[in-house]
Amino acid sequence: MRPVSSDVQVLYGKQPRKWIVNTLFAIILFGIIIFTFMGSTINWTRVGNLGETLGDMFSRIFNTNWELFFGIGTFDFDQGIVYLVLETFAIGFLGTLIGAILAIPFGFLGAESLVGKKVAKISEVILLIIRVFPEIILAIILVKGFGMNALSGMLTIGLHSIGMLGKLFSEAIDNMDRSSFEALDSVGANIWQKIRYGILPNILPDLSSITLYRLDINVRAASILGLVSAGGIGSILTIASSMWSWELLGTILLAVIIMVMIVDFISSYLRKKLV
Amino acid sequence: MNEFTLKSGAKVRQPFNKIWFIVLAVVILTVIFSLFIPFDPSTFRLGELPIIFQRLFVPYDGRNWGDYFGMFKHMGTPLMQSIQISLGGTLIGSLLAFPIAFLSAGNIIKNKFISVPIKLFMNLIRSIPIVILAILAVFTVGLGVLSGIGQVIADNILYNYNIMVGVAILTIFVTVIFVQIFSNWARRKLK
Repeated sequence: MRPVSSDVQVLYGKQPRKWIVNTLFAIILFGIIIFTFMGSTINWTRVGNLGETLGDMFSRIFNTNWELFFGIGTFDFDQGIVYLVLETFAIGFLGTLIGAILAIPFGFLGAESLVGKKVAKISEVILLIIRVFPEIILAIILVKGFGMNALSGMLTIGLHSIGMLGKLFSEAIDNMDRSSFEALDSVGANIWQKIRYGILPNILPDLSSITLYRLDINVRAASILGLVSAGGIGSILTIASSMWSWELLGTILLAVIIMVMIVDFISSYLRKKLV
Repeated sequence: MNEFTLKSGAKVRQPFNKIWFIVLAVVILTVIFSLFIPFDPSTFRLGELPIIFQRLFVPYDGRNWGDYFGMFKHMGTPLMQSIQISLGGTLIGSLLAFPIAFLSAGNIIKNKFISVPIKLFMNLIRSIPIVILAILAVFTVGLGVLSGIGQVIADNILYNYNIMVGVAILTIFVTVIFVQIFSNWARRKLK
């Protein structure tokens, strides 16, 4: 009988030599880092003054202008940040609603189990194109067509949401439990009864949870649509950044953060309830 | 409320469907928030939309398709910058996130006074729009960070909707599709 230690040694010998792969991986990672910083034109004198700049920023960014924040005093209510934040939320909310309604047919057309492979692939490609089209460019195009107001922002969010919502809807429909659908089939229900009692109760929780998640994303997206004057808080953001006005920027930032956190909290609470 | 009498005489009542509350809430919110959306058909210039699409994706002004595809060679440097930005950003972000992930995981750091504030701070960072962070970065490290394919679009689009923007959009399309295919493949391999 051989001693145990030689068995261990044999096993060690059989161990795959990973150090080649690891070294290769490290070299690739290092190469990526070098490649990344090769093209960057960082202004190093500014980096040297970083402490001073940040100190200036932090001393001024918390000087919230409360009159502007609530739109009271010398400002009208519809100039105030609160009004703009509500407008931003309106763009996000109504855009999500439009997107969800428009995405439902795409969801059914993209479900392989309902329409077959060919149609599903075609609608998948359409959804991919919608997803990839940059949001800001869609906003710029729609601003030209619908004017510089919140309406074009809402339409942008709505059209852009179709891409992701349609994909996730079709996945939800594909993964749904089909037994109740077949049971209704066997008792001779007609097509509307099958949809109403066989499909809808199965997919509605998934659909609403996906839509709430998208609402979360859309409210963030709506806050930058104003950069191309498609409504919301982004337009005043551009003004603040071009003036380097940290006080104004701080006021806007506070409002945006509060809104996004509230929406985040409500949407995750409702999603937890649904699932 | 629907009430049925069975043959045995027992009365059965169909329960009220809670979904109507949700529908009502959504309708009320829609009505309230649609007050914020101006609807003024006199500002519509719907006829311009197809013209814009045509100018973006079809050569005009005596150009032919050869010129159009020739423009892709101007996209090399900006595309490289965009890839550098996203690669470097992802790398830095994942390196910074690694220790933070351990600190904010409640099952590793049992001390709630550490994990909860870090989680709150992460939520705070997540809610800042990326454009504001870019503004802060420009102020601190210079305009170099605002480069890449987005800048081509920003430079060209504000003056007129010219063909350069269309070429940039097509470049983004191709790149994003390749990146998606690659990252899906890599994720499946890693699993």
